[in-house]
Amino acid sequence: MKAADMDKDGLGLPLWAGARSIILGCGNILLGDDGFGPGVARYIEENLDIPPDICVLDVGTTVRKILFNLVLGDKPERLVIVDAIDRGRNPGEVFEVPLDDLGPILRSDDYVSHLGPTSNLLFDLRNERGIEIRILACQVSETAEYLGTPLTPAVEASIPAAAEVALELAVSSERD
Amino acid sequence: MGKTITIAPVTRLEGHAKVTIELDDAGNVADTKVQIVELRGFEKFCIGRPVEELPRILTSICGVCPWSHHLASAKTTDAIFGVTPPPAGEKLRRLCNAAAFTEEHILHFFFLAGPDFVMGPDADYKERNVFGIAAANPEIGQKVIRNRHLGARILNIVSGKSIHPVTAVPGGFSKPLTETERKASLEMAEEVLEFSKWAIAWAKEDIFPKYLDAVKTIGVIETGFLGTVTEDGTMDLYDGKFRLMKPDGSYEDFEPADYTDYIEEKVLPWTYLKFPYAKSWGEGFSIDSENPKGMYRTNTLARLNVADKLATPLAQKELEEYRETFGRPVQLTLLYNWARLIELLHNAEYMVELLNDPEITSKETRVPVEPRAARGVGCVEAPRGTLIHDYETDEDGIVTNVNLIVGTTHNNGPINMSVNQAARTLIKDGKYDEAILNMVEMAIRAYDPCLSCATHRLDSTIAVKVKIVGPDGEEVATFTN
Repeated sequence: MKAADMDKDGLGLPLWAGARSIILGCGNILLGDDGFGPGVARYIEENLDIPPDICVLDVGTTVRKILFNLVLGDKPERLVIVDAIDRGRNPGEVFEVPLDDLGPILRSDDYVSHLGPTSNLLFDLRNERGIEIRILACQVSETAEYLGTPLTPAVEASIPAAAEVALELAVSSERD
Repeated sequence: MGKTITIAPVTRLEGHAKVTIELDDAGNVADTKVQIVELRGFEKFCIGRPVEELPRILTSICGVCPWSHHLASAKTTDAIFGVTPPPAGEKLRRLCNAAAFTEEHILHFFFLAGPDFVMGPDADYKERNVFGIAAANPEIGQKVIRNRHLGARILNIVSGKSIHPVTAVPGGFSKPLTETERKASLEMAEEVLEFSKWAIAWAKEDIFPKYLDAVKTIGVIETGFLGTVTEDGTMDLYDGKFRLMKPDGSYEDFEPADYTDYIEEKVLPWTYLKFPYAKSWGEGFSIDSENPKGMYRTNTLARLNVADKLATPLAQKELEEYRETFGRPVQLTLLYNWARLIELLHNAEYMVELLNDPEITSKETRVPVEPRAARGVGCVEAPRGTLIHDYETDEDGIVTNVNLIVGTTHNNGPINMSVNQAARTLIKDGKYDEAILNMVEMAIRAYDPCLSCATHRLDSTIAVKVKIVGPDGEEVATFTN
């Protein structure tokens, strides 16, 4: 189901209300390959059939706000985080990152509200709230340092396949 | 040569701030630096674009405070086009500003700064977060979540899109509010108001009294303040004139468009972020915490200092009580958090007031615009401080120049000063430990700084590492969190 369709009464229900799985496309579309996540979310909305209990959101750089809402409020079974990463792999390579591979809990991660998706919050959502966390990442070609930098060809080319994988992750479960 | 303690991200690309504490040979603090990465290329990105696109584009600069940039940009385009939005258009913008403020202030107090106070700065880090609050006070946790969410829902109703908004346009607001939407929003706003009343009462009773010693000592500096007020000195978070107050409480008021006559930005070689200072004071520039020059702060503490009064009755009563206790102007940095709760109450009251205004459902929400060569300045008070947008366009309405000063930039000097003060207070005779990190963090966190909304890739968490380096450059010890 597309995000807009979930706002049934037009009165601003949470876009993810009642969703079993939520796909969150994270990134800054103005900063090159950082726009991978929003690109995947948009591709899913425009090209793929979304099951009614799946919510897809292009959250840009606002993902922390939504994660905070999930901390104690209504929760899905599963979150699929789609984001760019630099793990030294081949540019455009799409792969899953186990949450525990993001490293230890870092107290500084709660320093300010502008950083995300924070691994601290993701750990808490899994450990405290029992939400299954799946992370789908794309290896960046380079890190953009200036606003207005577009996606590199390698990362842009990976979006359609990544979108299929993201939806598959949202539908299936590691518990299945 | 003494030692250097660095509280730093692993790499510049992964983090956005670096705190360096330099000790002299006696082990006392000789110098501190807070280096904040500023988003670059902004001006280049905007130049050449139609100015009416900027209110929409700029929301992608910051995912946490998009409404502030969205509204400041819309106001700037109003000035560029030489138009005034109709009353309903302005009121809808004001309503969105107030709703965004409630969402942000709840988030900051309860999720970020609050746990330090609720659980205590000495509590185990694993408990000093919102889960700790929820575990200790389940009812409070649920209240916090719900009311923060109500702010977002009001924004969704009023603007159709709370994430990366698009509804404020040159000349007004693109979406009128229906009566059904007004009633639904009003019901939610009234609930947020009840929560806000509870929040400040609870904090005054159960939280702040326990930490008054910390409030009176951590990060305390002396600066001036900048905020926005109406002609009669009432705080106005959407529009008005700037009031620049000196540390002694004297002040001057001026039109935001004239800000360059009063504020200049200093560039220092060790950081990308500039240092605005009050050049109109004629004392020059210095971020020495013991002898500051030209330093002023913005954000909640500053706004409550510069305003003579608040427009809403319950918040005004709280302000009077706050001033009876702490005076005016207040310099205690940790009182940003108390001031934040007063502002939360004010914005909740204001939402209810606007939603009871019959004019807010008028269908006349925007006026037409025509491109022209012009300069426009549009300012709002963002949750994090005074936000200034300044554009120039050619005769086709294409952007030729852009300058932004965001809330955190204004506070860059004071943040450095507060860290310096906190470090000097806590580190003596070469003695330091991990607890110091938290105190320094509290001083910075009070400002709710926007440490850039640039890359935030999945692996871009900040790893705080305190590295102690001996005079020979060899690492002596490391604390990591």
